[in-house]
Amino acid sequence: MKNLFFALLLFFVIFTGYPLVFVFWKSADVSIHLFPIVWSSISVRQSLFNSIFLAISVTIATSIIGFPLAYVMSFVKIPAKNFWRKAFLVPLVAPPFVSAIAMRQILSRFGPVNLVLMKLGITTTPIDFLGTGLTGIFILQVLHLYPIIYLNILSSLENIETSCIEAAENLGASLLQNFRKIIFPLSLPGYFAGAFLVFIWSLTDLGTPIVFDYPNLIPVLIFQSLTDIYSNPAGYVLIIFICILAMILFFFTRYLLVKMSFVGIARYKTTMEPLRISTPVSIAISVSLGLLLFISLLPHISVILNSISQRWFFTILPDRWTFQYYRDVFLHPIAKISLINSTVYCIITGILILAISVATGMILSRTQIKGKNILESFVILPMAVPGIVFAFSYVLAFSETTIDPRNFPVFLLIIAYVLRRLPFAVRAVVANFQQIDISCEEAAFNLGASRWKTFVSITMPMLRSGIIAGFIFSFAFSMMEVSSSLILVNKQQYFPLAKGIYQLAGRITDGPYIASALGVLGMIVSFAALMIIHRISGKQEISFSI
Amino acid sequence: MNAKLAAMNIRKKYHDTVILDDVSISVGKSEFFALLGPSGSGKTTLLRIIAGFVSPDSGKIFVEDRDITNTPANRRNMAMVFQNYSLWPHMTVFENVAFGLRIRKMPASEIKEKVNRVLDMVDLKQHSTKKPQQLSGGQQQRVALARALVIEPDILLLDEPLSNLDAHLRDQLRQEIKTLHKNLGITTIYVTHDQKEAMYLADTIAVMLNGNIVEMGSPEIVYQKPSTLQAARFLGQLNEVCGVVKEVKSGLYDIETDIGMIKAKSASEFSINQQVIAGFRPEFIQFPAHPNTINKIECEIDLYEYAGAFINLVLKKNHTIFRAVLPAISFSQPDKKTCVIGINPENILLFNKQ
Repeated sequence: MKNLFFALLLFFVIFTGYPLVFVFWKSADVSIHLFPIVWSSISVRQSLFNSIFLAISVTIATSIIGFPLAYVMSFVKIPAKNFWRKAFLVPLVAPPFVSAIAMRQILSRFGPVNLVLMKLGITTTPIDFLGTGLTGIFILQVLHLYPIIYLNILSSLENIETSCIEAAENLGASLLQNFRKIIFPLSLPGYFAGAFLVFIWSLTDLGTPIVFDYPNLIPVLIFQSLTDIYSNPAGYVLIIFICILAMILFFFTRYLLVKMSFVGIARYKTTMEPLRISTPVSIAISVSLGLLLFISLLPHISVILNSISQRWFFTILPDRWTFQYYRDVFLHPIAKISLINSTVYCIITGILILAISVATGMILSRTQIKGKNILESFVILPMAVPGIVFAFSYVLAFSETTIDPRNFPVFLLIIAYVLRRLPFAVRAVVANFQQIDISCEEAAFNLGASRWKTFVSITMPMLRSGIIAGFIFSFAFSMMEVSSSLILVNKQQYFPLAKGIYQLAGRITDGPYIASALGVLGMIVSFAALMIIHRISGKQEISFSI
Repeated sequence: MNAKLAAMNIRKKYHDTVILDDVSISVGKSEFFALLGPSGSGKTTLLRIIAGFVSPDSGKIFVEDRDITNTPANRRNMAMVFQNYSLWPHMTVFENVAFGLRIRKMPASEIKEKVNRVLDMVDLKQHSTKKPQQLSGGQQQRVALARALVIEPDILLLDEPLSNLDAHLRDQLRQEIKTLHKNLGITTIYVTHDQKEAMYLADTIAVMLNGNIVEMGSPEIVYQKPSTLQAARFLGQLNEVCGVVKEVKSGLYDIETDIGMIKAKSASEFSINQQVIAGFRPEFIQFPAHPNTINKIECEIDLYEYAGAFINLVLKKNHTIFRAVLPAISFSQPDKKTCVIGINPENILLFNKQ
């Protein structure tokens, strides 16, 4: 056990600790000397402002959608609730940079949205949605990210002891008072966790702006600075800025959560009677839900339409259909190689995550090894450090080594995938371990089984559903991991899916269409993964919390 | 199968809290030994040290004079029944029970035979293909028992095995455990906080308080003649009156108390004018007093409670209140407000007043 502990620690020191310290030290050094030069650049200042403005707006907008949605889902009696619950997971399945490819099309000056608006007489001249670029990015990020806030609030709400609410009711609180004094405060921990994730996600999203060709955002500047990293200090300064901001927010959120953490006292949960509402209100709610779902699926629908349309100009719907691009996926060199690569990378990633998360989870929850909290900190660190910082640090820290990503990126790419998903996987495994009564393992040991035999015949089978869910989750999400894929890989033979889609989308002729078809395949994989996890774990327990 | 066990001078600390403070027990072959104590007294820790899940800071464990203090839990050939059963949810009843035998690489046919025999013994043969979660609490408890018994352990360890069951089932299973022990004769250590359970089942009871064994002996001895006040209080209801020793004559003490002069017999030594606490159990009160009982006390009846099998009386003498429990069959409701009760000197326990 001790050996395993030190092996894991060594792994994290090399691949988490060292590159981050390296890049931090280097960036701090550069920043101190060159900060005035970087700051004097108008585009840098503009990007800083834009990025923060975008992240705040996205956080506010997703909150506005997420709060009521979570309350309706958890307290109100509406028809087909199970359908809605599953349906609102769907916006998560495609990263916005995939839908951006199609949205470029449908939000364009003479794209379907403008055509519909003009046909309905809402506007006479086409609206320039993409004019500033920021609007399109904002829309896509909001539509992609509000489920994260909604799911986090929902999980908080579902952890409220029903008796807490009933006690308030019993003592004479009206519905509104109950909401203000009990429900809302108790839902805040989930909200803060979700809001943090959304803010950081939006702040560091590289894929969407890059597809929209919008240059004035921090992640794009960082990305561009990598090509001339030895002459351009902007990357370093911005990395340090993003890193510090993310860390501060992370620890602040953790602090808030610890301060607000409520431990339920009652052991037995009763299910609460859902709030009954009149038919018109119920219809109104259903219609709103449908509308919200439709709007948030527009990007996905447009990707699908894009992937099967042969021509789509100046018409609301494409006027000619084809499945040719799905065949091209397996013929076009970039598409084919990135599809194969990603499958291989993600299977390896999934297996590594399983092994590491089970080993780490075991050490964290079943041993008393001194220094295990250091191990835990290393695991959690990638949640506080944005993916773009991670990828950036890998390029710098491992250049001129045998695993230099500019020569052979696969190794570091997979490690990056692993480390990015690991905090969530380890949390799930630890939660799983906590559900297994430790005396179940003791019982086996007591009856004569060795530690290894106990692990194989008792612990592993009892962890099974968690392990399967962890594998699928890691596989699917690594498939759509954007920033490491874009930054670390530059050679076509090693392209992962995200990079392949990005490259294809940038080409004229049939590139965007094949990219869309690839995107659709990616969405199907993600969607299937979500549904399987939903099935296995029996609830919406998808870890987005921090 | 079937061994004697000794735990010598066991000490255990967690951080700065002393859990076990120099505890020694010895359990004979085929003995049913109960560790009785309130929660936090260290009884479960002692059991887990015996099982090998926890290692003691100092002290030794012997099985048949073999020192097993450093033997890992999986080589001790003891079997434990856990408080919450700890059945493996991914295995059937049969697989749960067969586990220990499979670990011992027994041939499949023999495993089948043994498992079926033991399942028959606990009356679960028809449930052998079910998963544990399909069974009721009492049935799950029996599976846990069968799983432990089937490996024919040297020592059977039971950690509050009945505490999760409702009262009726608890009585029933307690009897089953007693019958099983009588038939199989396995050396058994039983941890419980319920003094009735301990008394019904055990040959020997060790009463644990704050990491110490304060009392050890047969149920009769620990109940009737406990040597510490704490143990006496923990084992059942106790009426206590303060008093002063006035005279000693061949083990018979004259005590001046709030309820008058009483005589008490004690094996312990007390000096004249020493402050003592005299304790007596409610069921040892005679009502009315036998003619030749030495201690006769006239008192008021404050409260009369009819409880079916018993009568509870609350009695009062000089503002001191004490209780009496009497079999209902020999009792008729008194028509007077006062009465004379009796109590034998050997039924009065004397303790130092701290």
